[in-house]
Amino acid sequence: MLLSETKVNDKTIVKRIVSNRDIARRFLDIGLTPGTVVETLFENISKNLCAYRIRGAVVSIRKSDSKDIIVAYDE
Amino acid sequence: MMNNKKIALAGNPNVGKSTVFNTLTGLHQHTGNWPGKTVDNKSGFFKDEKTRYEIFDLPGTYSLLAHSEEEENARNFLLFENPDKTIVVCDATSLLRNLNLVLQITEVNKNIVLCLNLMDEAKKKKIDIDLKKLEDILNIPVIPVVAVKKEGITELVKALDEERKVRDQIIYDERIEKCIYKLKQVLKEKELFSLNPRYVAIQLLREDWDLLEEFDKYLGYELLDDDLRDVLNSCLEELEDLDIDLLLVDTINKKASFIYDQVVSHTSKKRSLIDQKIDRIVTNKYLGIPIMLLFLAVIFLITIKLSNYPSNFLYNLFFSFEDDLLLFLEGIHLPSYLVHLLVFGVFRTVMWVVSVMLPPMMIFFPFFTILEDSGYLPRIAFNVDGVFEKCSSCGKQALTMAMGFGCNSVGVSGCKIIDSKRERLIATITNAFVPCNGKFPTIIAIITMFLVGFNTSLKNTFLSAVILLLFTLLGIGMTFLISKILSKTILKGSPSSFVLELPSYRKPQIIKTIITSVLDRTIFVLGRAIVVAIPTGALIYLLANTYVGDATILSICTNFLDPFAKIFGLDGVILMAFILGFPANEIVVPIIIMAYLNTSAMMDYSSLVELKNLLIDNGWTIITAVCTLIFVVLHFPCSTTCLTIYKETKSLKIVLLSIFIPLICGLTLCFIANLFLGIFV
Repeated sequence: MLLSETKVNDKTIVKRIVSNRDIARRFLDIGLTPGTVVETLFENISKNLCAYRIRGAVVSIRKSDSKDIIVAYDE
Repeated sequence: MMNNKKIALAGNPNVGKSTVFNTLTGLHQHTGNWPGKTVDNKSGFFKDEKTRYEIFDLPGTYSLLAHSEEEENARNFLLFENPDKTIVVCDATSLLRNLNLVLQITEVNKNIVLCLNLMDEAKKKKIDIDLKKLEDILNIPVIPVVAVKKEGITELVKALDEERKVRDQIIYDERIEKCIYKLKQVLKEKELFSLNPRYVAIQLLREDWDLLEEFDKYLGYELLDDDLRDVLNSCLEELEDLDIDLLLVDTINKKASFIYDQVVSHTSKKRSLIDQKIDRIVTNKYLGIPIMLLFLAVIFLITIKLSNYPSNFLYNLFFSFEDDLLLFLEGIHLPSYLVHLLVFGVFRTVMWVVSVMLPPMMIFFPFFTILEDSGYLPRIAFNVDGVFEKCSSCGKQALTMAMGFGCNSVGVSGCKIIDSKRERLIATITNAFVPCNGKFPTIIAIITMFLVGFNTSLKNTFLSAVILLLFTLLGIGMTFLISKILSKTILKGSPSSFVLELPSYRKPQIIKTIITSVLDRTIFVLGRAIVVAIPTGALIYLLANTYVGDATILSICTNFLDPFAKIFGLDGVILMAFILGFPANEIVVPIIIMAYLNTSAMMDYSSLVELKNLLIDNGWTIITAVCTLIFVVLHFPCSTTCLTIYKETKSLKIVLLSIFIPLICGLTLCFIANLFLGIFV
């Protein structure tokens, strides 16, 4: 499943990041690495942006970027 | 004899780093460029009994991997300027992410003090941090601080004298560690000065060639000689199957989590629930945008309404000095033409600029800073990002636009918050499309005189508000259009990744806010405005009082411009007034009056009715009014803004683009309006 497809209140675990190098590095900066738990919080009005809880902070990521993050539900 | 110590202040963005900096240095600070750096940084100093500390405020960053200019800046300072101590400011309420940066810094610098800011917020959120344990794990002083209340600052200064060095924290994957060891063996033979060999080895494995160049510059010789290259190549071959960047960051993240779990315990989740509730409302599908518009509208209305009083007060105050100044200068026997030039040219222009610019900014910016401090602004960017993504730019541009309503110059310097350089330039160039405070009085006056009428009935007031809004929307619409065009042409590129943090809400510090926004923004902008107002004031006076034959140079210029200006529905006087009004939009109308009345100095009008008669006598029609309105919104930015654009971008090309793009847009729209309205009127 892709992070961009998760629904509000979903809790998922990052499996793989397939973004290009520059964007992947931005994700690394905010601590978004494989194994990280991500909680999907809320979308913005135009639905191009979604807020997630990542390592205790609330961070919003564009859908066009989060479609490169592969996640799975926490078993 | 005093010791001198160099202190670096590092930390994530939005952790109160500048508050710590301001509290430490008081007023002993200045904004300046460090040698070879492009981003403005602050430095300052403070003293205790035996030491003079020079402190450098590094740009706020999430990491030191140097993915942005700010990160590169911060990293290079820590690496090459060799600070005696590095204070890492952390947000006690989100220690986990902050620890990442702390751990990364431990790899560069061993002399670290951890400053745990926002301890009061952490307490409120029932986040319990075992300071002693954190101190033991890291082996560095950990100082709890509430910077806005100056709590813990004395202890922080004391900790700068400590000798403890941070314990090595990070152990990477075994294969990477083996390679680091091999590289270190070679590096041992070299003179590395203050560089940490382990750090150098890691960066070689990351194949960060830009940084290698910086190493060479610092060391004065080529680091990567044949020996080192051989070892490095064999290491890279060995690690070929690994994504080294990812592994390094992952190890640091895991270590941060490990430490975090040992020292932090949450006893309640209540506070973050409050945050979530506020977020639900202010980012709501239906409420989000209206709430945002309401906030901004209230601030603008208050600013426009309230600033009249102090403006009039200052104006009268300065005017009362004019005669005294005249008498004084005549008394010291200066030639009378020089006296008049100084008093009616320079003094009157500067006075005018100060009295019309100062009050709105002193009212607007504290309000804006309060919104900023509360944490609401990022939510605005969050709400409106959609339309900006469509223009291949960034939601944070909405914030620089909002600042532009207060003052374009401040809006332009606010563009620093945009990470990608391409998007930052788009926001910079288009900022002047947003009408600033200085334009509103002119816009409102023209609407009242020509479009609505003087009757202040409810209907008329509403009508003028709608027209005002339309012209503001014209500016905003042009911002989007030009952003889109720029990102398809000279600033080509796809939208870069947009990672926007939504920080916890905080209670803003009202008093501190007023002081810093007045110091940082108002005084600063006013200073730049005055610098340009002085020569322009003299120029305006000379043009209006130097006769060639029967006519003043001013009237020769306006007559010359007249045929050209008529194409765009304006006239020579209006166009000339905009050119001479370069230092501040507020003096455009006074110059128009001066030119029409053929007086020797700038004049104000006693009533709008009188002004309207004067304008009509000089050939104004409703078409002139509409075209002038368009031109007020869309022309070149004022001199202060141009200076700021140059300071921020160091590029004349960008300044010229910022001048000509809005000017061409304005003239084009005026031309079209003139043509169309000409058919109907």
